[in-house]
Amino acid sequence: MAADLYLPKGLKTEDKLPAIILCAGTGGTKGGSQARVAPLFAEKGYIVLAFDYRGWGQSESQLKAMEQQPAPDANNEMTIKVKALRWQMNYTDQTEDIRAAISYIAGEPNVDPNRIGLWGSSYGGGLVTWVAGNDPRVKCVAAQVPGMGGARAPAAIKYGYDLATKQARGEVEPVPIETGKMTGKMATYANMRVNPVKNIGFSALDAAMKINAPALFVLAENEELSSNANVEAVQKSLLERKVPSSIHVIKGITHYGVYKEGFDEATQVEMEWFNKHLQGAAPQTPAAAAEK
Amino acid sequence: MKTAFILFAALTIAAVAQTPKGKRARQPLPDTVEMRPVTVWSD
Repeated sequence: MAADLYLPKGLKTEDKLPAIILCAGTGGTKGGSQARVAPLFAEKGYIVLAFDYRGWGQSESQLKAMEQQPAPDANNEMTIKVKALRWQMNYTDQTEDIRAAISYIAGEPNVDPNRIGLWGSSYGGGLVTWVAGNDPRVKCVAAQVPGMGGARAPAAIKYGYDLATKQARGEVEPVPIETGKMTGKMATYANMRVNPVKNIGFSALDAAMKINAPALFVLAENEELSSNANVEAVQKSLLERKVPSSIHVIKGITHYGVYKEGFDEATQVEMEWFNKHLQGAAPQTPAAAAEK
Repeated sequence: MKTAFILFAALTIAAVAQTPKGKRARQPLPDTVEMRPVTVWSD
C-alpha cells in the first residue's frame, strides 16, 4: 500500500515516540483529510502513518482474471489479462490493511510499539473500532462520526446470503463492478463499489465489546449517515467494563461537518485523548526533550 | 478459474485513480515535521 510517514524532525536513535495510524472513510485517501491531520499530530510528538487501502488512491490493486488461466510456469508465474479492482468497500480487506499498517509502524525505529493508537473517520471510524477490539497492539483509539455496522435487519442478512450464493455460482458478477455502485445518500461516491457479501460479518458494534484500549468517539450532533445510538451503545459497554471511553458531540454539525466547521474541534479533542493515553504527562517532542 | 481473485507479487498494476480530494494541493508541512513516502505490504 502507498503510505506517508510523518515524523517530528530531529529525532535521535534512542527516541521512542507513540504512533498514530490514520484510517480513512469511504473514498478517503492519504492526500485528503489525513494530510491535514497528520502534521498536527506529528508536531505534537507523534509518528503518524497515513495510507491508502488496497485498490484505493495511490495503492496497488487486487486483480481479477479476465480469461482462463494458463498453467503456471516453473516459477508459478503466468501472463494473463486482468482487471484492476479499484475502490472496493470490503471490511475484511480494509481491516487487514489497518493491521498491516500497525505491523509496519511497530517496526519503525523511533516508534514505541507499546504506544500505538488508531484514528478513523466515518467508515474508517467503524473499522478502527473493529480493529481495536481484535488487535491487542492497539493502545488507544479515536473514531469520529463512525459507521459501526451491525444490527442488520433479517431481510438484509438474507439478501446478503442469497447474493453470496449467486456470486459463488457465477450467476451474477462475483465482484460487483457494474452492479456494486453505492445508492441512496452514498450515491455521490460514484467511484466506490460495495459487495454486501463481503460485509455480512462486519459489526464494529460487536467487536467493540472486546475493546480494552481507551476509546474516544467524536460525533456530529446532527448525524445523518450513521447511528449515534450505536456509538452510545458501544460506549456504554466500554464503561461497564471499566474501559476509559468518552463521547464528544460537536454541536450543530452534520456528518461531513467534521471535515469542515467541526475540524478544529474534532482534532483538538482527539489530540487531547491521545496525549492523555499515549503520551503520558506531556508530549515528548525533540524540542521538549531538549528543554529537560 | 475465471472468477478467481489473483494477487501477483510480480504482476502489479500501478494505481492511478484518485478521488478529487487526493488531487488537492497539500498544505506545506510545518518546519518541525518531515514526511516520507513508504510502502506497507498487505495481503
